[in-house]
Amino acid sequence: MGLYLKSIWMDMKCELEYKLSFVFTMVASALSTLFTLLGTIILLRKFGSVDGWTISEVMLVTGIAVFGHVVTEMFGRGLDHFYKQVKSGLLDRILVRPRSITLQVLCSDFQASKIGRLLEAIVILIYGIATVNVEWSFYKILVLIMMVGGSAILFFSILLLKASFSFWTIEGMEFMNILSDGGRDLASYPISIYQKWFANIFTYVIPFGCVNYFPLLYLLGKGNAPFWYGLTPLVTLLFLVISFGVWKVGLASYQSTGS
Amino acid sequence: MSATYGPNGAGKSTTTKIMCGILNPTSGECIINGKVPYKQRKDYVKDIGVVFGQRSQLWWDVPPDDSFYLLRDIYKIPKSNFEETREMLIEKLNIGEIVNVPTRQLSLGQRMRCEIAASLIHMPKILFLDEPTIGLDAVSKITVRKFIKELNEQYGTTVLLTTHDMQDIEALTNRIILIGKGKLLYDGALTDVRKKYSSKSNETSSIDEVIAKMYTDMKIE
Repeated sequence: MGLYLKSIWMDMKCELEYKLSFVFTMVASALSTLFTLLGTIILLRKFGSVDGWTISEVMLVTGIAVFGHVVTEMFGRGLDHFYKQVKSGLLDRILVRPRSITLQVLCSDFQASKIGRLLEAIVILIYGIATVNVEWSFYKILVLIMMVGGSAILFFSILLLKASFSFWTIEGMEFMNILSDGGRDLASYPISIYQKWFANIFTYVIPFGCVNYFPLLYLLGKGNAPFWYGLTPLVTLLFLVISFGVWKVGLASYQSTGS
Repeated sequence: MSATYGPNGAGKSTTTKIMCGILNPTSGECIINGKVPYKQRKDYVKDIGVVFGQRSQLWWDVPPDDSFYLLRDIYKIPKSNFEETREMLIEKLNIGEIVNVPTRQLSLGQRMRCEIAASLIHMPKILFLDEPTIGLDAVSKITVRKFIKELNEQYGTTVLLTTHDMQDIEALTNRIILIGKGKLLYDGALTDVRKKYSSKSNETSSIDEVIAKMYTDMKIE
């Protein structure tokens, strides 16, 4: 952990070497989320609700998706750009150091400039939590924490998968961005508004629905959702374990074939 | 101290990578310091230092000294040992004036000296040098060579050098390992190679010519 904090400090120093770029990135990433969000708010104001979901409820759903996404953007940048490390041979440098490879990859990049977007995500989350019509109990607060944590775990796992694929190919990495960036945008709405088959993908294949839609049904008491709907964010742990397995297999394959 | 030599594509880098624990060999086994590099990676690599001439291991946007301090944490070097080694390296590699300049602003020669310092900050038992003098000017080349020789003599560090530069080999070592097409062609004294192959042509042939000749002969065999 000490090494991780020191590495993050180093990454920040590197990033701040280019102050103007830092400021621009910070503002731009915050603005892009803000505009998407404004679009949603304007639409919801016009129609009052989406498929029976109020503004507060949609904000909560959005907040959870955006928060999980931005946290992994900040801390998991090393995984996001891992294919570049494979390409440039920086991975070899990681391999000749006596520390965990995963830790070193995570240490290799930290995006402090996403702080603007992070604050935004927190504001959306707080707004959603404060205005949503839920009778809070100890269990329901626990569910909420699991939703937020599950969202971060899910986006992190997707980055881990993306990084793993670069052991086999460094082409077509943009495809994986559909899952991370695209996933964030899709998961910003309750998945019930999508077609059935589409919603199924986001439940059983990549469990976005499990971090906001299903547990929220329980929190709101919609459609007599049973209490175990509140536990669905735990599914993301399974997703993480699988991703980590793929990562390990990829690493072993790199070591036996070379670059 | 030994030098591996061979034409492009002979397998020098791959061999080095296997010895550094980066790659698994398809067949055969590699044991260094009683450890198998690619199986006991973490345990093994703490005793080795690696310099890849064409890749940097310093953090690009900050001064080399910052990299040294982060490496201290990566290798978990005790404070007193670290300060001692750091001062010794700064003095011997003559980098006192440049360790506080961001790495990206350094010339290749300056950077290479810092790279070597970074790879030795944990005082490894074995140092792997993959083309350490590639693209360096004469002064930097000589500083680097002189330092490596000193390191080997004073601290008993094993040095495995991979290079295309015959002068590197001449200046540093007498043991040469020649490989080609993945096969070991020769392992022995450089002076013997010189005797054997220059007598066939003329006495004054340069070391590059001697090696080129030997290589052609080896292929015929």
